[in-house]
Amino acid sequence: MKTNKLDDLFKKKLQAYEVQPSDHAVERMMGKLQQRHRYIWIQRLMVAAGLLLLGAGTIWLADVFVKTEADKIVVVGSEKIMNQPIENEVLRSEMQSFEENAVLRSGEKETASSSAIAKSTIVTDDSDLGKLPVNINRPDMENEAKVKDVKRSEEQVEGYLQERKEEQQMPVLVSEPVIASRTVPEVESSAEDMQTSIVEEDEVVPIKIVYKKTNDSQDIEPIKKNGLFKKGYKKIAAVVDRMNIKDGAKDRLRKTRDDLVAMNPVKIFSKEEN
Amino acid sequence: MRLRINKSLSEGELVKACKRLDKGAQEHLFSKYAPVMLGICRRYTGNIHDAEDVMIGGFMKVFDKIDQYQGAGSFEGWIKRIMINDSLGFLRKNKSMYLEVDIEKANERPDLNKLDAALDMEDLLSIISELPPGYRLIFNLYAIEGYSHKEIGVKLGITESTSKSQLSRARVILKKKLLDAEKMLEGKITSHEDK
Repeated sequence: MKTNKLDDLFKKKLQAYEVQPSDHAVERMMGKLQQRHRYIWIQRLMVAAGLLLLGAGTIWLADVFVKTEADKIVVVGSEKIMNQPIENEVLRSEMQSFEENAVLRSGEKETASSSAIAKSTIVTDDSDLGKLPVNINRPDMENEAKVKDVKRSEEQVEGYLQERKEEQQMPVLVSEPVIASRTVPEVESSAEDMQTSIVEEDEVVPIKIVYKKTNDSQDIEPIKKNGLFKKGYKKIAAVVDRMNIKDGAKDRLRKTRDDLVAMNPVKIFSKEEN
Repeated sequence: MRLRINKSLSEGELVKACKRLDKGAQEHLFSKYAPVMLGICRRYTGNIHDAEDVMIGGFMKVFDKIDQYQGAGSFEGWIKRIMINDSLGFLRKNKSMYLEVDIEKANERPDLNKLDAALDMEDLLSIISELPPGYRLIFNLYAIEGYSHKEIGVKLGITESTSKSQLSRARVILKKKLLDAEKMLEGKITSHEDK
């Protein structure tokens, strides 16, 4: 490039030209930087909030799906199960009322059939499921079953029953039903099972149920609640259908049974739990 | 407002810190390069107020696009290119750049050696500032920044010949202004000697 003396004069003097910015310019620059940083922080917060919502939504959805899966439980065997304590106050009071009506009137003899019926009501097993009324319109019961943690051993139960028999009292209808000693994690039962399983009325069938958990990570609490309902319902249904009790008491028990179905005990128990 | 300059950071560290959006580093970068960049903007825009506006916009662009600087070439050169481009954008928006001005060629030639000694930086800057924007722009790009006519043509979207003619006209104006300045200086010297 051809050099020009005029160009060189200006280049030499102006290439290193510097001007200190005014205070006003510096303040404007700092203000713009501050504004930009604020904007960046808002952006970051929005991203963080979005991620948080996404995470919460994922957890919520996972919870919904896990509970749905947890409802599916499978009975792979059987074991003798005794009655379980009834925790629901309404159910308990109805059961107590039933017992009062069901006790033999003084002077009456305990018959073979009443004794058998009594036996069949104290020992509950999975065959009782078949005795539930067919016309129950409870689709949510299909995959729901619950068994409470067992608090007493089988020996204790047997001893307890023996004592009651010896005292010539109503041996099977106790105010606080007992339950065999065992912890049952999960049970699956379906409506099909309920309707196909049949057992003789006065036959006590000691059976063994082995429960298998379908998913280890799932919470089994909702299933237990439904199981409690089913056990209580089963007890009432069996007694109403089989016992020779007064007509008034029978009607009352039937009403109780229907009320229980109408109450939607799954929701009630969930509410109590909360 | 006076800026605190932290001289402990090297250029590389400063760039990294700015990439992390470190506010202190951004302030440091601004305080380090603002005087040079304002000088450049001043040469192109012709006045200090417009130059400050262009410089602030240019620095915001530097902070926004600093991730694009990969370390190839000097960082100061990278910032200078941003400032020059922003100055061009400003002139395009606000000035009619390529006015053809009728100029009579001066027969005399100024004594550049004498003027070099007599004129300081501000005098030369004021002479340049009096040039029409298009002439000033091309004179700055060609004579001071060292761009070729081809590069100027690409940068400004004009032909090489347009760039050359604009430069030639700019030089004619500058010669006339330098002659005026020379005469003024001679007049001052004569009056001083008469006294």
